[in-house]
Formats: sequence, C-alpha cells, structure tokens
Amino acid sequence: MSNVVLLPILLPLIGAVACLFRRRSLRFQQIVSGAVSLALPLACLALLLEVRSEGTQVLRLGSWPGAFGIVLAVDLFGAMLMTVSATVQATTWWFLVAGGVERDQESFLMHPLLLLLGAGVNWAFSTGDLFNLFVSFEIILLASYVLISHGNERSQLRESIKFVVLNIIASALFLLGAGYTYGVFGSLNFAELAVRFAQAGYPPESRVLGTLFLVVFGMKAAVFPLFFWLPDAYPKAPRGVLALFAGVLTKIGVYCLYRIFTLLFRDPVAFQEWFQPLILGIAGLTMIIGVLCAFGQYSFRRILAFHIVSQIGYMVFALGIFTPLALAAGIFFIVHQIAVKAALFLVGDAVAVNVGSEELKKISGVAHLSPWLAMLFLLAAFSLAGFPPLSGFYGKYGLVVEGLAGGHGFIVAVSLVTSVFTLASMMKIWRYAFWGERHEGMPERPVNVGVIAATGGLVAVTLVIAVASGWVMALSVESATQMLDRADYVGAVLGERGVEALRAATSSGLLEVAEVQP
Amino acid sequence: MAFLASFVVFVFVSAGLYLLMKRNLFEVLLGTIVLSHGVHLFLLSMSGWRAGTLPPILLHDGPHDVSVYVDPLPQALILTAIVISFGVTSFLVVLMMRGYEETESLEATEEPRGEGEA
Repeated sequence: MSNVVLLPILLPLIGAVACLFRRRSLRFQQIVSGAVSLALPLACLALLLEVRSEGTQVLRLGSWPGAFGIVLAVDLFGAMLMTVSATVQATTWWFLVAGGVERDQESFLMHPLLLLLGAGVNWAFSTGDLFNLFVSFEIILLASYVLISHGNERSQLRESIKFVVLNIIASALFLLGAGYTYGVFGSLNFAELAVRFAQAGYPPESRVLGTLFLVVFGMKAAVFPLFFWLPDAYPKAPRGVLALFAGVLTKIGVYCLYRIFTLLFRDPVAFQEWFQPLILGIAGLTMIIGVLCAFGQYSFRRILAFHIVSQIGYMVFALGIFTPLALAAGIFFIVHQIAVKAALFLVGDAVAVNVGSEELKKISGVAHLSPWLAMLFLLAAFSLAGFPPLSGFYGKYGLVVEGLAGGHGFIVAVSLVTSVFTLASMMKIWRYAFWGERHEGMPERPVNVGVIAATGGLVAVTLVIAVASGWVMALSVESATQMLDRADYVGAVLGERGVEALRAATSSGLLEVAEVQP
Repeated sequence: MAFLASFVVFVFVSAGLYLLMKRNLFEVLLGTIVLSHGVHLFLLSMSGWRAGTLPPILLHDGPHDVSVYVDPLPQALILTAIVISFGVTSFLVVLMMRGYEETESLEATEEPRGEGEA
C-alpha cells in the first residue's frame, strides 16, 4: 500500500479544478498549471524509484480486500511511461507560456484541460481494472475532444465531429468487451482476471475477448486498418497541445495492449495460432503504410502525424515477438518515442510560431532564421530514424536482433526499409523547410525565442535518454521481466493467495508463452 | 430471459449502426445514442438476471441467500457509463450546432481540403 500512487492523478485534477476558480486570470492559471506540471515529473520519478526498489505499488481505495474494490497498481512499465509523459506535459506547459498560442486562445480553459488530460493519462497508466481503464479513457477523450476543436475553426469542427463519433463507437466496443469479460469470468480486476483466465484453462471466450480488445486498443493506438482518424484529427489541435497528443495519447493504446497480452491472454496455443500472426501482420503493415502515406504530404504536421502511425508498428512488433528482450526493446522504444515525437511536433510548432506557417511549400530557409531550431530538428529527426548514438537506435537494434532470433526476418526487413523511408521523409522536411534561401516575407530573426527554448528542453530530454540509455535499458529489461513473470503484479494486488492460485493453474499442463530468462 | 435480452441488444445495436451510416449528422447523433444504450442493456444482461431473481436490495426480513438477487455491479457500471455518454452526447450536440451555424446544413459532405493536405 502506498499513497504516492494517487499523487500523479490527484495533483493535475486539483490543479484543473483550482484553475476554474479564476477563469479570467490567465496569469493565475499559468502559475497553477506550471506548479503542477513541474511537480508532476518529480512525483512520477519518486514513484518510479519506489517501484524499482520495492516492487509493484498498490493502493486499494477504501481498503477493500483483494479484487473487490477499486485498485490502483503501478508497476515499472506504468511508472516509466508516467514519468516520461509528465516530462512532455511540463515542456508543453513551457511552450504555451512562452507564447506558443495566442493569449486569447490560451486563456480559454486550455490549462485546466491539459491538466485534466494529464490526470486521465496517469489514471490509465495506474489503474488495476478494466472498467476504470474505460473511465480514464473517457476523461482523456473528453479533454482531447475539447482541445482538438479548441479555436473553433471550420476545419476543426469537421474533424472533431468525426473524431468524437469514431471514439463513441470505440468506447461502445470497449464497454462490450468489459461487459463480456465480467459476464464470463466474473471480475474486472486485471490481477483477478489473470488468475481466472488461467484457472479456466483459457477457454475459447478468451480468444474472442483478446481479439475484441486488440480492436479497441488498436484503434486507440492507431494501428494499420484503424489509423485513418489520426492524421485528419491530430493536426487540427492547437500548437503545443499537439505535442502532448502525439507523444502520449496513442501510446496509451499500446500500453494497454502490452498490459492485456502479458497479463491476461497468456495461452501459448492461442498466441501461436492466432494472436501472434495477427499482431505481426498488423505491425508490418502499420510500419510501412504509415511511412508511405507520409511521403505524399506537404505539411509539417501531417507528415509527422503519419509517422506516429508508422512508429506504433515497431511497438506492436515487439509485442508480436514476445520474448523478454523484445518486450524490453519495445518498452525502451515507447519511452523514446513519447519524448522524441513530442519534440518533433514542438519543432514544427516553433517554426509555425516564428514563421507563421507550417506548410512546407510556404516556408524555406528556416535554418538562416534560427540555426538552433534547425539543429534541434536534426537531432530529433535522426533520433526518430534511429541513428546510432541517439536514443531511437537502441530500441530498434533490440527489435531487429530479437526479431531475427525469433525467425521473423520478413517483418525485420520491413522495419529496416521503414527506417530508411522515415529518414527520407525527415530529409524532405529538412529540404523544404530548413534548407535553401530565406523565404521572402519571413522575419529577420526569431520572433519568439522562448518557444525554441522550450523545444530545446524536450530535445535535451531525448538526449538524456540516449546518454543514460544503459540505465533506461536496464530499467526496461527489469520491467519486461516483471510483466512476463506476473507474480509481482498479481501478488501485489491479490496477495499470496493470488500468486499461489496462479502458480497452481499454470503448472497444471499449461505452459507460459515465454519463459523468463535470468 | 437471456434470449429476450440478446434480442433487445441486437435491435438497439443494429439500429444504432444503421443510423451511424447516414449522411445526416442528426441521424448520426441518434445513432450514437441508440448504440450506447444497446451496450448499456448488454451490460445489464450480464447481471445474472433470470426469472425469479430479486432486485439487489437486501432487507432484514428478505431472503438471506444472495444467489436469489441479481448482481448489482453491472448496474453500477451502467450508471457510470450513462453519465459518461450523457456528457459526450451533449458535447457532440454543441459541436453539431456550431457546425450548423457555420454551414447551415447538417449533411456530412466532402469539403475541399486545405493546402498541404492530400
């Protein structure tokens, strides 16, 4: 039991409500939001260190025993993602306060909405049962509905109606899945479900449920057949806010896929026959189609939006390989992506703030305007493509090695081709936006250095991940081991009874998918 | 009872999906509402509701065997889900009203895309 678990959810929630007390004072909202945004990464880091030293941290709300009440459970994976998302949130705040958007727009509830989004994100990363996951998704979605239509432009209205309707359908499917799970297995708690799935010997219903949740979370994560909403909706979000969307929101879908496939659907037969080919196929198609779609675009934001989709493919690929090292590489890759994707979008928005447009055909020679900004873009772009000293390399390297060892050579080849294409389309942005003569009508020097500094802050975070890659990788390996072993998570939520029940159920002829190597 | 429940859920969900396919945004709105209600009814049918079961209100002089009551948890879930779908629906209504003010129409038509969009 640890109350620190609640801190990452409560802090932004209190901040959001506090902002509403003085709606007219932008200064007040900036200060409250800033205090919370700075405290949040520290709280998450404290939680991460506590989880690392003492194992999965659990808070039973109302002290109900076992799986009867609402449980918050944070393992290493969740704590890592929380820490890096909170860091992105802090730099988003910096970007906004430095003048990323017009003051009128910023003063209209933008700070409380971002805090609500943060609360929902941390809730999703820490919740221990399916239904609370649904509720946290809805909180995230409601905040993002308002933020995507924030600004009230015609194209925003059109895209946000589509976004809302599609997400209502996804939520309906999620509720169907949750209801079906409860009807068949009699619980919604992840740990309790892990035990009951194993005890029931993974009946056919578990395949149906696994596929249903693959669709639901795949839609949130924007994998291949279900990604069409993302490149239309995301580029409509206000400047700065989009970085948080792009960095964090789709990764929650991936987090949920990792969670359910390591904790619940661990039937080796079903995995080999059905889930593994499905996930691997989705992964390959997501990578290549995302990156090919990016080629035809001439807008900074739309190119990057298709790259979000493409990179999700790598994360899903790690899940498809399903060995401890592949999952560790996948976790490392998610952590890296949250930071680097947000950094790239901040670069794009910083260009738009300083030049007035992010359409590639309308800008050129930004490198003359601000060499710093150009350098930040290069660092982030090379990191995205996976160049060796930068953070993107380590995750991809792990994936390639494990993919070849697991005999998935074709998907590995696809992932390497995708990397080359990624670099090519980054070079396209470079050639149009940063290289060449200065576009006429562009200002002499950067108008707003603050937003460039905020962007630099986030790029520095990606460099920290690269420099400390040994430590982050060790942490990823630990969290992958912890997730595959399950005993730590189940034991923390259900106590010894749960671990024993799980052991008894899995030893009676049912093999684990992946044996954890020491 | 299970047959009746699944039939009602079937009617709601298929009507909702049919309405979602429409071009008129008002019908799409109705579709989301009907679809959500279909799913809520599905949740209700997961509470072990058979002929002869009692509502989950435990009284001192009532039967003490809990198996004669329906499971109250799905009802709590539905309550939460209804509140959420109420909030989302009202936001969608506002969005559509703003769209109507802009375009004087509720038809979902393909608009010319902006520059830089393919």
